[in-house]
Amino acid sequence: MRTKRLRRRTFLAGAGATVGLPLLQTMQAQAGGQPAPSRFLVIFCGTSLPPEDSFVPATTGAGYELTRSLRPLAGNDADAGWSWGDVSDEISVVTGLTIPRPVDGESVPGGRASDGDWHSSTMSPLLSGVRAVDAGPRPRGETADILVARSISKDSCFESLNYRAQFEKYRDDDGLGPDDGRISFSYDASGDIVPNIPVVSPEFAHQQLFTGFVPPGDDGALRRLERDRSVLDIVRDSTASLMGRVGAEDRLRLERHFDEIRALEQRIDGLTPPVGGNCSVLSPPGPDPELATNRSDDGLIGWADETSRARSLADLVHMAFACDLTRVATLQLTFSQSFMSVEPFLGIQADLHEIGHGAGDENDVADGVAWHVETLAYLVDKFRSTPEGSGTMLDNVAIVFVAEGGMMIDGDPHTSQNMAALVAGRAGGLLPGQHLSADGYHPANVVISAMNAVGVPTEVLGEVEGELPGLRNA
Amino acid sequence: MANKFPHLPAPLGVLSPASICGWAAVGLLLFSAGCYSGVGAAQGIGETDSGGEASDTSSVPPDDDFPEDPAVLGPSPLRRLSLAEYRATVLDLTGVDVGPELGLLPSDPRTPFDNDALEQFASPGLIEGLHVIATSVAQSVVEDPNLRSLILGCEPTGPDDEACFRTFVGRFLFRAYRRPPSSAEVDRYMEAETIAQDQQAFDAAVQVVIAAALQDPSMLHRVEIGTPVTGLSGVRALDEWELASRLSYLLYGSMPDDSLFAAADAGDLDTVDGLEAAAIRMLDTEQGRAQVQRFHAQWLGYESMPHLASLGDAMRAETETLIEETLFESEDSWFAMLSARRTWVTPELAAHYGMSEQVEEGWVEYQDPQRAGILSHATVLSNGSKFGDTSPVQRGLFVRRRLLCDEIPLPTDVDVDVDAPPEAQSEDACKLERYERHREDPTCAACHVYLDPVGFGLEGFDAAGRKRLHEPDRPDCPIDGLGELNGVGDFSGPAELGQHLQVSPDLEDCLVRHTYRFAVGREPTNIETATIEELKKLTQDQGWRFDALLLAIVKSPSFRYRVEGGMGG
Repeated sequence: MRTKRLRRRTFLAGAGATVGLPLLQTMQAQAGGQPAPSRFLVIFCGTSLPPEDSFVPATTGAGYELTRSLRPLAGNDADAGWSWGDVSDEISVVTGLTIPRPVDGESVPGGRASDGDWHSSTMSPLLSGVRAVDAGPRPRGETADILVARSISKDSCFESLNYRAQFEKYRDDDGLGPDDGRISFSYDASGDIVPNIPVVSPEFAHQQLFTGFVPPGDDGALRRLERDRSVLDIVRDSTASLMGRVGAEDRLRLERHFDEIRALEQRIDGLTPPVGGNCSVLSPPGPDPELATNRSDDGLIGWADETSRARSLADLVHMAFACDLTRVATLQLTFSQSFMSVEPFLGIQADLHEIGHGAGDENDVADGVAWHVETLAYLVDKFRSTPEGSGTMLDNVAIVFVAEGGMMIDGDPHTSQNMAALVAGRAGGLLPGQHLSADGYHPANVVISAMNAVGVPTEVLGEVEGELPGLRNA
Repeated sequence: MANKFPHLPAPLGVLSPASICGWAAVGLLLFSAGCYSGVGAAQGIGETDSGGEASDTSSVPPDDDFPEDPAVLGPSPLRRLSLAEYRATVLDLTGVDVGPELGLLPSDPRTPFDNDALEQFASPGLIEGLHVIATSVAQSVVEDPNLRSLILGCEPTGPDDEACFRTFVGRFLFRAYRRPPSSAEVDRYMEAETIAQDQQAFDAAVQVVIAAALQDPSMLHRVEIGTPVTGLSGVRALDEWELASRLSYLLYGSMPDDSLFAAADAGDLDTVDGLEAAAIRMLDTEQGRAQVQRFHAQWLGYESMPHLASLGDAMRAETETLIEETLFESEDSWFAMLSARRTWVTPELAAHYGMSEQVEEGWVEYQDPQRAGILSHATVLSNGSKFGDTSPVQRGLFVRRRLLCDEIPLPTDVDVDVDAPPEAQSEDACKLERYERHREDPTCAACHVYLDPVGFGLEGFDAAGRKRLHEPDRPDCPIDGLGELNGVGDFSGPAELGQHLQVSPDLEDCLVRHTYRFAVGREPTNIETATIEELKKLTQDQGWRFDALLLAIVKSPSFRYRVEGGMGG
């Protein structure tokens, strides 16, 4: 079926803040009853999990009781700032997952590396399913979001969106490079794995999605759009011409640049119309929260109000999905081995990493993880409150929440045994609201299930094979 | 968009009619046309297009000092302007400061410098962000009558004044590309004229040109094509415009100024002496000095610090003043910064350090014999804190990696949580005791012998550079501050560490290596050791003056030539 393409700036015409767009219904009618698309979201928590008691529900199956880290799923707690409703029925908890350790000093398929128990050596198997061979956080295969985006989001305005809530690393260079602030990676033109750099500024992320639209009858805006097109014409030609003049290696380096300019041109020119009437122009989140040390009124280190940043970015993911601006997103809440301060929410002068290393007790570690779970709960509640088709948006999303490490065993915060994933959404027969004990499975098995759920038929992710049984009705 | 005129860069800062003409003087030089004579300017374009369309038909012989093995020059990957360089360049080009807007874009990783070519990845955030910023600058320019007339260089008679438009395009592209644009490039931008016709507004087309030029990859990147060198496949000699850009981004962190453009146009940069003369002039400017400060802040890890803004500024001012005094005012050896017996403090910083007698900002002699030079500055001592306090391991790593360029491998195959603070035998254990295993267990000690003793020698100074006699909240844990630089000698405190480092060949090497890395925008490859050795020799001959090191880099073959490819793909 031929997709009817409308200009992005037409369909969002005349919208005020958070006001549904009357035009959309018309367009929806024009586009004619297509089923809602499936969407895929990865949320990343850059810290390991607390001891079992604080995370793993006592019972398996439906109706599990919420543990300390999972309490935000209950919502309805004004004091805690949990303004959402109870979403525990919507979220499946998968526990007992393992990223295997090296055997005889050699990494095994889907395993972590032998360079000590570095936080970052779980990143490759976790995100790409391919074993790590050193301590570096760069995955050795493409990450799941990229594989999914290529399959289901190719024609979207944005093939995928990559956001990160933690503003900065907040700690000196550790010799492992900047990849711990990234969770999406793909092959470049020369076949190397390169990072897809996340947008960190909620203010800019909003601009990227929602500014520059042309209200009807606004000639000024129309003229701006004409100029924009003319600008990008020149830039595109100029890029192509430059690529013809430089050497082979530099040409490869420019290829990505060229692709992004083409993508920007296409975004400015048009997109597939939305399938639901939920699309509205969000009011801007306002200026980005400042780094606390840049202010004179408090002495916080390693904090730029990530709570509010995470919420703003979650709002944008929700609306980007609702408007069908993209079908794939990643939301990295914190860096791998995060040095973000916990003081604003735990009242301890320490960072997330330190509370796992003695600066806090086990409850603090659990609460640090709960801070991440809050954003998941907030977002799931939003999807559930957004009607779509005969149900809600939740019926058409698959959300996988993963953490960099497993649960503390005997006080060791670096295990990759007893890892966990939280899964939300009902796309492709995903079964929400249950606790699955999945001993012997790999976190990537959960991701493979979610990939299949959104219509990306695959048996493998990297070196890991098979869906997690029981996570969905295939 | 930020306020414009207060930020006008030096060349545009003194706005007399003559200097407005001065902006156009480049056009005059290049195109043999009057300031406001658009037609003349347009006709000149394409005749001096060495940078625009490099031709492979001609080649130049190598200079006498060209190394036997071209590989020692190292690879020259295409470099994008860092965000800081982009900001400075846009300011110089248009008079508009985009600093606040750039804060919205994905930041450049520090490795430790922000100009690492191998960390520059295009992303939707970057490309669309630059698009948004460029569009907004273009609007700011046309809405500001002064900036507009400065940049246009002619007053259009109407929307279809093609001559004036062509003048403007040629002038603006020249500065944006930092070389004469080819006629094909000018024609590409002339397409924007249709917008002026359609929208019946000359300025609409002006906006298109500015917005496009500010995100044009030839503006965003330091494109280097060069001329083939006779008999050396893959080696190219940079042309005068490419050299001007190399000079200005190394020494200014921005595009060339008018004098540098003029020098390039006059052929002055074709000789090593000419390059040196230009560099000497540039180093003696405010921009040149600011760049030297930027280099040190990134290298020595105090570009951003975990302290409140005003205290952090005071700390930076202390270090910047020492650098300014040593490197520029006294023109002393770089190593003199390790032994300075006085320091420059504000009252706030003096109070922070506990120098209660200092009530005015200015120089003060150290009373504490353990303090001397830059290593006792809070800026440097702020590096390497962990677990809420100084980390002897992390401080040791800082000294090893940043000052001695030692490669310290990550621990492998150790059955211990290397990331946690060392385990205490008892709750009451003091720090030295807690790090015992690093000394006793041979597996740990193999590496930690290079790290912990360095950190322990600095333990008498806390994570904000304050003197202390015992561990925080532990009066029962006195700090002796005794340390060792393995293989060199014992020390206690930054002054003695500085004495060791002052005569350390490793620091000499590391200083040159970091400066070279900053200059080439990537980690040096092994084969470039020969180049680095040569630079060391030349700098040593000049008493280790930092300007001599920069000049040695500028004069070296690796600055004047490039090797095609070689990154190993």
